[in-house]
Amino acid sequence: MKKHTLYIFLFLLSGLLPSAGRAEGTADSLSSDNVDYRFALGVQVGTDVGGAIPVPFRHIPETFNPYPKLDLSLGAKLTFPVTTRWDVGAEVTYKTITMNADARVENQKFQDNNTIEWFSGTADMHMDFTMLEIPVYAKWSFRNLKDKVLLGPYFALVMKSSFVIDPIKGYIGLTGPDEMDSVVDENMDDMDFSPYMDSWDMGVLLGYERKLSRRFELGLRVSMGFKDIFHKDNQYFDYNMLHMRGTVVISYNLFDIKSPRLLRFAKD
Amino acid sequence: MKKYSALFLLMSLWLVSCEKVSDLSDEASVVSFQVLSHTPESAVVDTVYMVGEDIAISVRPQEDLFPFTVRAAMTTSPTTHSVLGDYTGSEDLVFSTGTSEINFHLIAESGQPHPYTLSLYPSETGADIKEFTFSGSEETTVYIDPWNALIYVSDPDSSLDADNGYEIKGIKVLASDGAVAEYDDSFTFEDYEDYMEITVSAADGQTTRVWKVYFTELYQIPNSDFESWGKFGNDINNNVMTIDPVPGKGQGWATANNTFVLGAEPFDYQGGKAARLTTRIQDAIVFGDLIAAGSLYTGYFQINVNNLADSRSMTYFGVPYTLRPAALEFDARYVPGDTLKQAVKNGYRYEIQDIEGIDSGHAWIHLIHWDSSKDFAYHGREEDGATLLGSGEIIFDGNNSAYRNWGHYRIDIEYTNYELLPTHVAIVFSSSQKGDEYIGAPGSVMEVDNVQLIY
Repeated sequence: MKKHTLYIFLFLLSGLLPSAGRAEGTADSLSSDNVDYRFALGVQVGTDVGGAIPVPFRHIPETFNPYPKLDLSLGAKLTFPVTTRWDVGAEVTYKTITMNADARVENQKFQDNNTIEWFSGTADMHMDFTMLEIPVYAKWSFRNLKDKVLLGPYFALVMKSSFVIDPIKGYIGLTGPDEMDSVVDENMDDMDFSPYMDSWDMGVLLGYERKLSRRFELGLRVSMGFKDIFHKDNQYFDYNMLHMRGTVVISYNLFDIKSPRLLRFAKD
Repeated sequence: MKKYSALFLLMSLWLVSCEKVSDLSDEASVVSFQVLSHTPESAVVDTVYMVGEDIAISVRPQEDLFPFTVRAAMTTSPTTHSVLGDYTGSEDLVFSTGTSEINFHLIAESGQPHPYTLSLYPSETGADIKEFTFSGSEETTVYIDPWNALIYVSDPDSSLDADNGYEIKGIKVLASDGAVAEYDDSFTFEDYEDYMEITVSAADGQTTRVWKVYFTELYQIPNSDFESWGKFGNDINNNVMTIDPVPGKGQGWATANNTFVLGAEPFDYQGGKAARLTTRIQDAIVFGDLIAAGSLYTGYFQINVNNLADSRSMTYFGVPYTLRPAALEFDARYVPGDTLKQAVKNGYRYEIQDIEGIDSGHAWIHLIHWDSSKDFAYHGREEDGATLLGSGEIIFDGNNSAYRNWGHYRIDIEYTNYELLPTHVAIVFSSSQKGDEYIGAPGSVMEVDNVQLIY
């Protein structure tokens, strides 16, 4: 419950950042007279590289070869300038993140005919997440007003996800970890942890954005989830698996929406 | 620009230096094994033999040798990732008997396990017995235990007569080179505690061992009281719960349990465990639904997904056995299922249909002589290479309510061939007599315990 409260607090905090920015902006050396208080609505395409990683990091397999798959993400973004150097923004992006990997796994728990067993050896891993990601962020511009950094929380609704480990060679402990009770053979079933995955995520996003032209912007982001990709009561992972990914995105600002109600900002 | 180039170079180096999973070695081996010390200190350790994945410590048998404790130094190949099992390289090795084995696994970088066995090998004392024979001994079983200077004699055609005992004549002993053996040329065992003594003096005159010869009961298949069950790895029923195949796959009891159906399970009975065999409907994937009888038998099970529609071809009946028992005895009860059904082929798939009748359980024993030029593969039907020497059976007729209560049963074995010696014995219990024809009543239950071969 405490965690949920923290997530909600962080998400709401993002709403306060623009206010703080606005207060700062009025005192900024750059005049706010030129600020055009319009929502900018844009579309964006991009791709993500990443997946879920074990935290603490010591649980990352000692030999791990990831093969990320680049899937196209599609989304829309809304930006509102608060001052000349501060913007706030929100996005809605539909994305699929896929990563395959070869790994040397140690004592991975799984269930076989109602008993818990432990697999160690080499395995192919596959994970993918199809999600609707909704970041809300504050954006700060450098003096050239072309380069920007952004920071804010995100919420993601995970619509489809899978996490499968396909053992290639190794052994199984039936009585506990670090036991060799059975040799893995090629007919061994995959370990499919998909049913134990949670349907939402929340985390923080840090990014850099460069204005390429009047309408085009290039964005680079790094995001990290705060919550385990699996249900809290899952019994297969003794550590958290958190979303971590890098994103490259190109956005195109379609048009600005002038809202009379927002003109009051111009009077400040 | 220079800064970016340096960064790019660093990242490239990092990527190149990442160890590839595909490069991890499958190899792991013991490079050397050395005995550092042992208890009792008076024990004479000669050599350590390393043959493949077996390590044998050669020790001279002596009194009060066991438990024999060894501290050793083992080095493994550089591609060995870890050592798991009863010995990981640092513990004391404790052998409680001369036949004790200590098993461990070397795990290669890739995770590939390599099984190793540590055992003891009796070295020459100079006062050993190599062979013990007597008139007609070729038709008996003689087991020499060099560790404890014991010899066991058993006779498949005769048990120890309480009135007359069991007499052996024309005794001959082959002892160590130059050793002198003192013994009578005949002996009568009055009972199972009675023994004859043979004193063997080594050629050097310093070592003398007194050997004892006993008459013993004959061999029973291990775990015939069905107390031990579990999962025994992918090679045994694909790691599905089954009966303990002790002393090893194809040498003890087995079930046809597999990923698709569990027909044999243990249950608590009279302070221990017994076997419950249940006829079930099995989903055979592309072949449709089949009737699968619960079965328990000597031999092993080898699943073949392509043969799900021919269960007999996956059941290999029989374990090595060279004696001629008179009968098979066991405790059992049988309750037929409600409705007799049959899986009938319709096109490529089987469908379950109700049929007239009531189900019956089945217990049978076959003594087989197998042609040694062929790999043993007996499926309970006429096979090229199999000669049926003797057999017996009981059909547990589902109409007979007497079978619904526990009873003690005996199957007398009728021999039809006395010329050939048995090589294998197949003992089978099935909850549906015609299970191999996919006829049975789902829910038919046969419970079995305490199987014993009677000589």
